[in-house]
Amino acid sequence: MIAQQLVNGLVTGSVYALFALGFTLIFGTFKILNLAHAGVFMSGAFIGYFAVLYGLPLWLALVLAMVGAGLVSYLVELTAFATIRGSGQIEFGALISSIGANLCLMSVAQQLSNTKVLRFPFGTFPVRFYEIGPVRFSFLQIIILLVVMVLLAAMMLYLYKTTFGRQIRAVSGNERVASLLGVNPALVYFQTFFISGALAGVAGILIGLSFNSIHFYMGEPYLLKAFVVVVLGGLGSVHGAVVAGMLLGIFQNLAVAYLPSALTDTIIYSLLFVVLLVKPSGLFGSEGVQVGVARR
Amino acid sequence: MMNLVYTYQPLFDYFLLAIGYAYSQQMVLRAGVFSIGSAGFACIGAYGVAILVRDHGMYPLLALAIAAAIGCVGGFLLSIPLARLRGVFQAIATLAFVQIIVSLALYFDELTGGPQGFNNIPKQVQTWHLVLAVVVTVYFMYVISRSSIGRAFDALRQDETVGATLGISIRKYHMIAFVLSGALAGFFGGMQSLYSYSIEPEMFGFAFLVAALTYIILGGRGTVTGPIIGAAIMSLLPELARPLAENRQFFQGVLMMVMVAFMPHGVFDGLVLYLRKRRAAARDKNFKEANHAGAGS
Amino acid sequence: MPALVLDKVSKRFGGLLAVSDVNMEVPPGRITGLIGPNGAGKTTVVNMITGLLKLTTGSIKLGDRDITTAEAHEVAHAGVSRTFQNIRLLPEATVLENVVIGFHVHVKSSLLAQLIGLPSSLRETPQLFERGWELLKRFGMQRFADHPAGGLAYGHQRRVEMMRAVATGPQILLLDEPVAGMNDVEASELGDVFNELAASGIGLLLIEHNIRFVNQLCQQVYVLDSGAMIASGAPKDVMHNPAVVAAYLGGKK
Repeated sequence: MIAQQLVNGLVTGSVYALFALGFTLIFGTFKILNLAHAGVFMSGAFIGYFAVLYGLPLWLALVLAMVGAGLVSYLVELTAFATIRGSGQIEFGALISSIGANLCLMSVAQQLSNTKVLRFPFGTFPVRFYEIGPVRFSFLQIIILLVVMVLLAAMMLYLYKTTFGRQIRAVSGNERVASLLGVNPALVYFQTFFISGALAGVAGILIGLSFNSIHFYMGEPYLLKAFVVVVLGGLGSVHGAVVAGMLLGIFQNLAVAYLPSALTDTIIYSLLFVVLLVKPSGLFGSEGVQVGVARR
Repeated sequence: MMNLVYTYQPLFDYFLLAIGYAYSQQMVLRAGVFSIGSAGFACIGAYGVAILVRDHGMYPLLALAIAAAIGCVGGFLLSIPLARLRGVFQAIATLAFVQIIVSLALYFDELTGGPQGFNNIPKQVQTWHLVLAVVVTVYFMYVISRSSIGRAFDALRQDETVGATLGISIRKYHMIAFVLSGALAGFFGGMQSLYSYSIEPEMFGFAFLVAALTYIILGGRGTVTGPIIGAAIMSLLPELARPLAENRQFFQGVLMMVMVAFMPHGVFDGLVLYLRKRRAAARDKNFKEANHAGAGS
Repeated sequence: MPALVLDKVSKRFGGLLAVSDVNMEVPPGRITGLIGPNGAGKTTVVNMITGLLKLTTGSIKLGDRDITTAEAHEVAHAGVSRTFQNIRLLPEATVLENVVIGFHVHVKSSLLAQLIGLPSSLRETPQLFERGWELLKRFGMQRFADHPAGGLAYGHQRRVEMMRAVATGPQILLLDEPVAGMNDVEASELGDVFNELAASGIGLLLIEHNIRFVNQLCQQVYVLDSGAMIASGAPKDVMHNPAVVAAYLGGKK
């Protein structure tokens, strides 16, 4: 029983991790809390849905969801963030702007779906189960784990083994200096937002398949969980997002089995609050958090 | 004519409630605290008053006073841990606070009715009560704004370090901001309860948070008039934008992005700052011309 | 009026000893200079006095009062004010509002009065603005009263910061590079203001690069280099001190 919950938790957690990864990438790099990430996640689900509805094979729908969500994410950057770069108070302004962008995305989705919950046509995904010991895996769960692992590995490689990672660091430090050193900030923005969006888009379509429900406000609960993951793991830390995401998924699944979900939420958000007080930089974060005016 | 009043009265009533919530949000933002926790205090106030009045027959005014008092104390308590945080971390912490309150309201369903909501609250609040409440609130906002508290808030918002070196205790004034914010949200949450027959936890969740923030983004956070303008715009929007009614959310989103990009101080504050600059430029021009004429160069 | 005394003050940032074993006195009624090449630690010293940095060792006293661990706002209430190297005015406020904020330490009405609008608070605001106006007249800045502070010329901005610091009614005034970027005429005008302030009993600490300016105004000069005090005394003695000459001509200025 516990083993089953653990497995379920791992699967949920890996989706949390995928969602949180894109979120923490943007925060770690640009210090922006991008609340439109929820909308990007949702757009991945929508794009995937319409692709399948159009008759495309599922694997192609997945790819389209990924690319599409990546582009949506970049669109958000162009409309919500690029316009306010250069003025002070980027933290506050960017947050508000991202809320605005999210509202736009949700509104479009609401229109497209006629405010109804969309469901994948019957037979989109084969319903098969595998038993390994006491644990029962669905085919979908296995695919989710595989997809997430592949994407994570690819992302780590891209971030750490290529110059991209260094470029991100340069641009996040000082954009003008970075461009003087030959880094193209526009390209960095594009890559970062695209990757972030692509990851969220995949998460979106996977969740859409898991629960077979796609609706325009599906992103919000994941966004709220993402805050927990990202703070726990350390804002900006890729490893942290993955580990914390998994842990959250496991904890949530175990807790929900024994406790009412409202109480589970209370515990999770209380944990978030406590972590912010005790170690805002999270498990893996190294970033020192400013604490206002005090003798240092 | 009466038909017009009937149609628009609920709009006006919610506009008045919005003003209350807007001021609650403004208090913290004006002092430079990035708190978005008013929703939590509104929820506590709403449920507190609803339970006390419906289930315990308490006199509404007393219940409202208690709601405001809980808001004060809650604000004070929240300010303590939040003193160690700044910027987005404060925002996330207060967001967590709101979620905790909402999930507690959902959990204690015997007391609160849970997700089905709390119904059959006696309607004790009419339009004129709301008008009175708002007028009194505006009085307090004005008085505080003109006092040293208002000036201290403005200083801390613009440059915390400078404020501290001028003798402003950051901890003290941030705490005052939280207390005022909590009291306002708690009180108007209670008013909402007694106005709208029923409440449910989701009313005080993410959407509430975004709305309260939007009032201030649109109107401005440095003046007493700003929040009223912001609340007015948001309340009138669906009416003015009838054809856009279905796409109201989209329009709201665009408005937010545009405001942040082009009028980051909000409509009213932006106007005030712009007029100030214009007048200053005019004065400079007059001065130069006067000097020119005098010196005869 | 008390003197500001730094006793064996030092500041370590991890492995870096930014300020080591500094002993200094800023007596009332006089202008004391603190000079040194860039990066010598002058602003660090100021930050330690004003409550923005913790001291690693040593103590800072204002008369009998120990302000070594006092928080920034407590230091202000004790009577120490400062101006900033890179001018820090409140950008959204007018010049008059910027100055009035300097009167915060003198606010008499209680919080309660301010919260509910009692006459004591309502009377106070116009009184403070009147005082601010007087200060503007004293500095010749009346016509800028309602100008947004951010839009002023550099020299005027410095004056506003000065007025704000003076508004606190300090016993000790720390001036961090107050005439940087000014021409001689402007600097000399400000110098007259400093002399006036000192004459009224305030102890001024003038941190500056402009050596001529420092020599004209200061009776006592301290020289900091790489965090350590390398000389102190009357300006003409200090200027001929070989260590001081080396510090400046060593290509650091």
